[in-house]
Amino acid sequence: MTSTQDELNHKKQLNGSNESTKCEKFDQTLAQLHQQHIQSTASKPELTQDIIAQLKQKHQNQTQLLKWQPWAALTCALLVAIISFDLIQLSTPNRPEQQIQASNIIVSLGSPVTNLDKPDFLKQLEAELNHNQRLSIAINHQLKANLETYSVQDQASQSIYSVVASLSKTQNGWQLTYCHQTQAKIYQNIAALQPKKVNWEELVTNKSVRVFMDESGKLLFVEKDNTSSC
Amino acid sequence: MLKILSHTWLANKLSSHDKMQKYVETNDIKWLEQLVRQHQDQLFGFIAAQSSSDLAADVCQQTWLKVMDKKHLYRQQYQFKAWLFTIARNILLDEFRRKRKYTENSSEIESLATVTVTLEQDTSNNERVFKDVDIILYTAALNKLNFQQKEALMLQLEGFSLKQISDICGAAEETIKTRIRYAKQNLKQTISEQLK
Repeated sequence: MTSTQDELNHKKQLNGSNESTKCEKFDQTLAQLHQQHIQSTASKPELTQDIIAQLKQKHQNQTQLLKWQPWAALTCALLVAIISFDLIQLSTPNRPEQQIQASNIIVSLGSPVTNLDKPDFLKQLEAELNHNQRLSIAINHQLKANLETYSVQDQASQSIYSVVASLSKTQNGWQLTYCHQTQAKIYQNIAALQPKKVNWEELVTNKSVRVFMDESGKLLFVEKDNTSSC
Repeated sequence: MLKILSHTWLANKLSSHDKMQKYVETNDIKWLEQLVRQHQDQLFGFIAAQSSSDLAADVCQQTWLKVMDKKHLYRQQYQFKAWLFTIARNILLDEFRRKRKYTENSSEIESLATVTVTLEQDTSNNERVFKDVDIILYTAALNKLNFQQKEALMLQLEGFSLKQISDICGAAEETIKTRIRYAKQNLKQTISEQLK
């Protein structure tokens, strides 16, 4: 039994080695055939030359492109920067002053505009500006003169006050009733005032009069006043 | 003169991988030119076996141009020949798809797997087959293989490892093994039938 099995195993081993030898032979033959096949289908030398020429041409193109690329990139960047700057300047909606300024800059950067070339609205605008400027200078001069006069008067004179009052005759004599909110300050040199004698008989009863007093409230004189009333 | 000599000497010493690395580093077209001279025939043979000479020439041109364009994608861990063949294969498949010539059919392998050849049983006949077979018969038998089997077999005969073939074809190593085994069986069967 054992010897039969051994024989079988031996046969199997022989068959196995036979199989592997066959496979090796087959693979060797296949490799040889493949080599022959490759040789028979080898690419034509012209194709290899063509490919190399094509690659060289492409390489040359790429190199030339690389030479110009930085300059092209720089030019593009500059163009983009200029365009962006202009766009930002012109499209800022919240800054009208800057927009006006920008348009002024554009005008002033160009050739100077002569009077003949100026549009009508610009001429009119300039005339108005000149007129206003002259007016403002004149007003300033006037104000300055007035201020000087006032300061001289203010220093030289003591103020007197006037009040509108109504005159009435009572048992005790003449009575003045001052009207409400009619007090006024008068700039006048008090020294230059001549003392006036009040003729009470000339004053008409129940008529408005203007009463003049100094700063201390001392009655200076009384006048008839037909223009005011209480 | 000395420069040319040293360049030639250095070029002979370097592997394809090193040449490609040099080309990537220096952008010197001479390195690529050497790679073309070194690999063009094998590449052409591989593509021509799966298509036609005209298409193979076109695919080879496209492949080398792509190598130039995509050189920055070449990595230290790559093997140049495997990388080159992967590019070529992808271009070939694109061409097939464009021409509607190639229809990938996964069941094709399974159906072919049922064709189990019992040729090994006839030892004497088998030996005779591969002694007398010539290149025309071999090419005819090769052309009868389906695309995937032929591709896997050709890559193995080109000297690629199973891992590299699986990387190139984008299939598992076991699948590649099966494809190669059936490719060989079918090849034997076709040749023996033609010799009868």
